[in-house]
Amino acid sequence: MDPELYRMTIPLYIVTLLGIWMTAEYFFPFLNPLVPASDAIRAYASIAEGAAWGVGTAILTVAHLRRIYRQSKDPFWGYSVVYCVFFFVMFLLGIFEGLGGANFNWLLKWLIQPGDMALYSTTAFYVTTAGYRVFRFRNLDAAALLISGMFIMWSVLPLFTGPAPWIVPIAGWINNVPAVACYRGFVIGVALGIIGLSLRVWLLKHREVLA
Amino acid sequence: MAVTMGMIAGSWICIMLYTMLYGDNFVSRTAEHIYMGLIAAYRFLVNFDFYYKKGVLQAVSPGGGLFVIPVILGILIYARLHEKTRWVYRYPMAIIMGSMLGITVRTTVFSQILDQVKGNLPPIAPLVGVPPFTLVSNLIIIFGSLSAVVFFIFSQEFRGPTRYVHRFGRIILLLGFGATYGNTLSYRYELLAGTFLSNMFSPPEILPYTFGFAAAIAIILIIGFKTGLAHWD
Amino acid sequence: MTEAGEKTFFEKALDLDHRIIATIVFIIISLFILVPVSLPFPVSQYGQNYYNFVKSIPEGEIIGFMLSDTPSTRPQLESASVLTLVELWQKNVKIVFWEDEPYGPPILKDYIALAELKLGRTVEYGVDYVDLGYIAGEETGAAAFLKDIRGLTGGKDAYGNNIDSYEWMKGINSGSDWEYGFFNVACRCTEPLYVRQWQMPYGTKVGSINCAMDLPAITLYLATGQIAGTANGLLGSAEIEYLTGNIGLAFGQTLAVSFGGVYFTILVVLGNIFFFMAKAKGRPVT
Repeated sequence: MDPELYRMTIPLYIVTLLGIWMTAEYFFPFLNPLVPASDAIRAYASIAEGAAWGVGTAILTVAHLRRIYRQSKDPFWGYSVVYCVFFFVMFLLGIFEGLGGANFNWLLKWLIQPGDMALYSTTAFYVTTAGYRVFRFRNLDAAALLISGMFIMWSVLPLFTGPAPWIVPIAGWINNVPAVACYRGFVIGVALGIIGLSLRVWLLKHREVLA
Repeated sequence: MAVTMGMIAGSWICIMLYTMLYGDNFVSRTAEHIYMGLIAAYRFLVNFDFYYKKGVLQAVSPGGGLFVIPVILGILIYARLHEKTRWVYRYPMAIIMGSMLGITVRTTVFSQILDQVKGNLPPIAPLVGVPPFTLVSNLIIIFGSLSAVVFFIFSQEFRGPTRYVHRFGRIILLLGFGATYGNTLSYRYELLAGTFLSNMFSPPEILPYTFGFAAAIAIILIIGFKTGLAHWD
Repeated sequence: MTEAGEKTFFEKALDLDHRIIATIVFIIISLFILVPVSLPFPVSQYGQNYYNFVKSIPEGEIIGFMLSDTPSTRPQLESASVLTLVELWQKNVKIVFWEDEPYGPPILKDYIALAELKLGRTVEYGVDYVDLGYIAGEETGAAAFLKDIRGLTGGKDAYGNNIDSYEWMKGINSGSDWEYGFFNVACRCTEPLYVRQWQMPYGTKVGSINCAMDLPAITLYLATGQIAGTANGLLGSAEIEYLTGNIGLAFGQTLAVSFGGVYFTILVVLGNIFFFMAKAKGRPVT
């Protein structure tokens, strides 16, 4: 048997079959007897996705362990030691204490959550620099971007809306008229793109989906 | 005691992570790797807990025999880790991708196309019996959304009168993206204010630890930059 | 560049080091967090509509609530989430929780504890609310869950209890069994997912708690009525605090964020001035 058949072709046919089935059952009542089966498949897919998270974690951890093993070839192997120590401490606490354990939740509450907040909030500095470098009244297009951006930003800041309440209805108009028009066009375009891409996948023209 | 130590640890890891703004340095890299190690383990455990409770435990419970299917699918996903067995992973992924595509496409047609087109029609966007300002706004929404869709037609060049439709669509898109940038900017500042308030400046008892540690890190980094252990550029 | 090859003041100003800009942001935000002052502001239509939606939910109703806040958005959305729970439990509404993000379960527990403090009473698990736990799989998981709750969860809640042991849960098995619902998707932009998989197929009236960044993407769902109301970011939380008479964390942060906005406005104005001054001197600038 050609290996390509069972390694790639059959999985692609499964994507096609399931996709068409799940879409068709929504529109054609004669497929109603198949609905319990498709509900079950969706439930199974959701459960299997829970296991899928482990793949990325395993790949990352193995990469760091390899780096430690080859320490002479990589000057930054010390950071991998840090990663592995904290990974295995958290992992073992989760296994032995459970997700409700005191030490496990201490690490979650006082290291993970603040770290998450800090990393995410660094983008504030970058958007400020980007605004300083990019927002220019160069032409009509740049002016449209700048004016709508500034009005929307002012409308959510009490220091501006308090003394100048007229900013709120202008920003409201921008949010409810041109922004709606923009996103409506965008969303319709994206939806047509989703349908187009799905058709490409179902017609086996987009093999990269299972690369 | 554990709570106080936790507040100090939270403040310190925030300061260490913020040093990444000042160039590539060993302080921020260490904090990043601490965070990565913890978050990788946490996300894996929470998702595996879901897989175990909803899959494995259901499979072994009376009447739950069919749940052995997602258990096997979950195990097959790990075939990706070895080069020789990598192709096996395509089977569970095919089932996941097929389901996801199917449920996304079938509801996309209604919520993202039909309902949005309905949004351009009365009674949501009436053109008769409304004040002039509302009429103009509704006309901008209708023509603006159509022009924005036209803007995404990249397969042909727009000449003559049609180039004005393309141009109008571009302006509408830029107004919308400007609105997004304004919202994003205020959101990022909110993130920053929230991080400072929750982790570094509250409660007031941890302020000395926050400022003390920040000063210590600043001194360490200055030494690091001068000795070449950290890079300014 | 001058004839000597040096940059002019305006060119240097346009190339201002990112670290200087960042340090000034640090100082401004820190200063106004350490010296907080509450500022009055007009309530927007979004905040008012969301509040009206919460108020419109009848007493004793059973609703669904997907609450998956994240640590990074918690300071902004905590007030809106907690005060929504307070308003609902004041009307003896029964809530079915679930989460679609791994951070969701511990944050939900914190929010419930904070809501109890504001309510002045404890809420009883199994009587006032049930938590069905974390549901993996994003859209697939949400679709499967909202189609057949017992099919996906095995009839068990987050703690392994049989959900049929709670009398009021006996009639709840899908999204169609809730006339009202809420979702807190933090900043993941998955509001359209819940419109596609919850509001549209089952006709549930849904309210959204989301970060400010998601607002432009959901205004079209607000315009079509697919989302009944949104508590939008920090401002939404501050508005809910004001409308419910519980001024707190969100209100206090608004000053720091406001001065951040002032700083950004000054930077944009200066950037444009320097740009046009440099251009007037015939320098090539971007």
